[in-house]
Amino acid sequence: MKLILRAKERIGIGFTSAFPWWGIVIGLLLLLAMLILLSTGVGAIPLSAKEIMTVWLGGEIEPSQQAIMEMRIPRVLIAVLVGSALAMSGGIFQAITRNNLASPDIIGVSSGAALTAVILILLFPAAPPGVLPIFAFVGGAIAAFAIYMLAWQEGIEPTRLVLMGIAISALCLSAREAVILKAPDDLESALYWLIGSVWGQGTEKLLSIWPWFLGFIVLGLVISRPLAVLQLGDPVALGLGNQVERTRLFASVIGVGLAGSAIAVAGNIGFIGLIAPHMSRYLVGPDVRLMLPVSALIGAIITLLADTVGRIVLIPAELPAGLLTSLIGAPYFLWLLSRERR
Amino acid sequence: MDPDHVVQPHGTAAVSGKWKRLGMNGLLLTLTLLAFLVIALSSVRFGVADLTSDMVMEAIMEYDPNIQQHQIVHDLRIPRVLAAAMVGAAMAMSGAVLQAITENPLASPEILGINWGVALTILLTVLYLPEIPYQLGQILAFVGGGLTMALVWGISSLGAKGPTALKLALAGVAISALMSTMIEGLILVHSQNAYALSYLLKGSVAGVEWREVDFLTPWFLVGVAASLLLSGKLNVLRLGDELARGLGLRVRWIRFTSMVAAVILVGSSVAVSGPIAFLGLVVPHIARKMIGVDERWVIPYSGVLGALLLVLADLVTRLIYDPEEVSVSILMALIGATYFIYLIRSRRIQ
Repeated sequence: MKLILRAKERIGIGFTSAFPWWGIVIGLLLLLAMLILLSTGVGAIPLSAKEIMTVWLGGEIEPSQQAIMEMRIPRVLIAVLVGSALAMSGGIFQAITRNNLASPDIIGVSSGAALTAVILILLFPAAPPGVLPIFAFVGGAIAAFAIYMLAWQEGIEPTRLVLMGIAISALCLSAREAVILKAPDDLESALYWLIGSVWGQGTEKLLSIWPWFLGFIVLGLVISRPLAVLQLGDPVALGLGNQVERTRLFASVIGVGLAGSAIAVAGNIGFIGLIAPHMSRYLVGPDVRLMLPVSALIGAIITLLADTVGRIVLIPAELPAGLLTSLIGAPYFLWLLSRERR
Repeated sequence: MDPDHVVQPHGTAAVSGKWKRLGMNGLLLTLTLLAFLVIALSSVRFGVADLTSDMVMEAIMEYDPNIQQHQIVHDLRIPRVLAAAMVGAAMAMSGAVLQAITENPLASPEILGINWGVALTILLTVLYLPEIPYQLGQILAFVGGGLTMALVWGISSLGAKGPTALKLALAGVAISALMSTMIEGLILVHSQNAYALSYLLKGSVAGVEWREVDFLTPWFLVGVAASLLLSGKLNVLRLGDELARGLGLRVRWIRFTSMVAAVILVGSSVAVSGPIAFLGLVVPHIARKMIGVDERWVIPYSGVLGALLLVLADLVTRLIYDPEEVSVSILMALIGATYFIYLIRSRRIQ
């Protein structure tokens, strides 16, 4: 199997990086760590490097500064979780469909998850926060299932799948906007959520959601091996003992779970699921086993960067992270599309 | 060269067949118009406030601004119905025109991003150029819508196979996502008037006043007249650019003027109601199915059908969720998405 994978890499999309893969992973981890430290320091009230280090190392600083840090740390960690989940979900969907333009937002999973999450948030505000990921997961799964069933006509054709996704997304989108604009006790926070933002997330939220993310990310890493075999095409994968349909099903469930959890927490931070896997493929090549974890790292970096930049450009106002990722992601997507041969 | 002899679905020999078709189509159009009138009248008659038929008649015939019921009919219901009819007709007709000039079954105001381009430009002018005159702002909005359409069409035309349905749809989705996010972001940044601005996202004709109807009417009439005048030429265009040019048609000029007419129709409607999804995409398909392929019938029929559909949807949402109204765009999206799914499955869009 290793031999085949290596041969595939050689004839494949043909990018061999100048750096070994572990060098890239370590570099990205360092970048992420630096960004985490930086992000806790900047904002309407900046903190000094010394204060940041003291807090992260468990020391005590001035109470007022301490309070700021306690607000920023969960927010930063949530941005990391959300970004890696979205990126990994995009990578999984691109691997399942073998289409580089697939991502939870284009395919329509995000819109389903977002709709059910909005309904829960606005109609049952008393529900415990731990329920939200389950709700979003169910919504995303229903949307994915509906799209898949509607696109099935003696098999699945990518064009039909994408068009169906667009139809279902548009439906969920208008329902969502109507719900939000209809019942706004607070239009502003509803808008933040619509665009996708990690704004205002506290420790309580972080504690209630991190197991979901960690679970799904680990599952994503587990599924990356059979997914890699799937890239060789169904006949070869079957010959190698891979149960193709079952792999696709499990991978889809994990992809929906990742996207659903992220959307439940932060709304739809656009285009992360699309860009991160592309960058990852550019850096480490098309092998899914490596592409997925590196996507997650890149997704975390982009999301955190977008959140940090959004926090400092318009002090004291804040731009939601999703606005910045869309501003970068949409042109990138259009550029990819313009080079598409089909 | 008379386009009549060029586009003849049943062959020129069958003259009696032609007259029969004309009669059938005329009948269909008349019946739909009648249905529209009935629905429009019921929409004035029924609503949240319980009024008698006599009261409504009286309010129309001898309007007395001192009576509250008269005010409801005159200031709330009539402008709302008029606006719904015009917006519905405008969206549907522009969809029909766009599908004819691009020969792409997915071309429509929402897929081409005109809706969001117009909404974004309106928002930008309201926020950053508040002093410019109203009509100039509207023209800027048309320009914004036109540029967005050119962008989506241009991007989907790049690459090997030109603008396939799939590429058009994906480019449209990406541009719409970008623009709606930018609108939401701008509203957030100017949160002190968030409520006043959020109508740009709403997609509804609730709360429309006479002022807005007065504004919409001239643009609507210009757009409709232009589309109807161009409809015969669009028939010739469907034969393919080469042939149309050979028949003496100024192809580029026709495309450009049709595009401008479509943008005027959509732009003025979005300024009043916000974007309403699927109307411009789906109605022309239904119209073609019912009345044939002749654009001179398809375009006016799309208009009547669009008006009927939006007024009906508005009435239904008003009655079902009385008095807490849902915006009409959800119902439209439900109808539209269902028909769209049917279209995809019937493989007419591939």
